[in-house]
Amino acid sequence: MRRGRAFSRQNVDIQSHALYHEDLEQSLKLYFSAEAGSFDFRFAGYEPAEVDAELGARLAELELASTLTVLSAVEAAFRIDYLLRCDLKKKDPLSMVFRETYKKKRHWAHLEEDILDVWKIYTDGSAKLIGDLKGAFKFRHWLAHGRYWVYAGQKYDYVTIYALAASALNSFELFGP
Amino acid sequence: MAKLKDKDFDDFVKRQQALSQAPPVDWDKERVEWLGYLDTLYTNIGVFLKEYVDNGSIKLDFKEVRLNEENIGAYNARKMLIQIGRQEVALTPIGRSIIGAKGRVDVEGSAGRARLLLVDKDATSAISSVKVTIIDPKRPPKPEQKAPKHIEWTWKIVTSPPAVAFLELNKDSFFRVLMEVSNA
Repeated sequence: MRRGRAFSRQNVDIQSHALYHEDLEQSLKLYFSAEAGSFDFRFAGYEPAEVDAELGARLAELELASTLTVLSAVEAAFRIDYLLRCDLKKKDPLSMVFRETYKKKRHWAHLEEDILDVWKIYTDGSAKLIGDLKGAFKFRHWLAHGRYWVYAGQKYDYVTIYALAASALNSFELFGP
Repeated sequence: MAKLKDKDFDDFVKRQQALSQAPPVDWDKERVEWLGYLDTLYTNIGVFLKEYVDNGSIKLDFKEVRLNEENIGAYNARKMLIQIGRQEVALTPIGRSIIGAKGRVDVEGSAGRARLLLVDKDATSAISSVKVTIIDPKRPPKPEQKAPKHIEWTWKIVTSPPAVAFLELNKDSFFRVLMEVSNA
């Protein structure tokens, strides 16, 4: 391995994150229900429909945050693999193209053009998954940059993105630290 | 060899062309078919709830919603509203162009959302188990000559991550979904 390469090992495991997401979702539902000890104080003056609407808004925001986290985890997995394939001097055609890219771009390789597109060319059975991932990363771009423009592409929800991410991490043989 | 060569890209394009010998998709037909599956879903749910609708404890209603999808364009679809006392649960069609499925309907109540997907009857999970293999574009594997599989499409409930499993949609499982999204 290239000397001095240090990974944070803080990259997100999407399965653990799914449990965290579930805990937050259930906590919100409880907090917004009459069973919560703070309900009468927190929602004093609300109509039931207003409580429901506020819960809906919180759950929607949680979905977007988790979607962003899961897609970032997928990016990290592909980038770590790219760097390790360069460090380990693997002889397969994919790793060799990555090493050429590394000479010019180091760790600033472009995720879509330099990593995902190369996976698509040098693998069998990946075209559909890579296409779906690239679509999802356009949505991630919108999320990560503050959602300030009108997003006209395909909209994704957390469950769809999780399934796509898990499928990708399951299907591609990615090197990890 | 290491740099991405034009030749490798040419080989890749030829490989993709060989794989896409299927006739182009008739999107009008796909839209009509998807709306048909939506009607089937609503009919099945009507049967699940018949006893409660007949005695007046549950009311069913429909609203038109406008959908706009890549390839298909803009079209109207029906949204189902289930009124149970103060609770209203909406079944909203999301669209035909869904990753890993042929259609999606969201079930939304005051306490959350569940998803119904139109998927292969034999599918058990939304997580793909297909393995991607590294190839040399100069020596690509020969495309497998498999007979096209006849897929029987059916509506299933998708569970939350991390399992993202498909559950059979029946009276019992649908009632559980209604209670979950209503915080019952």
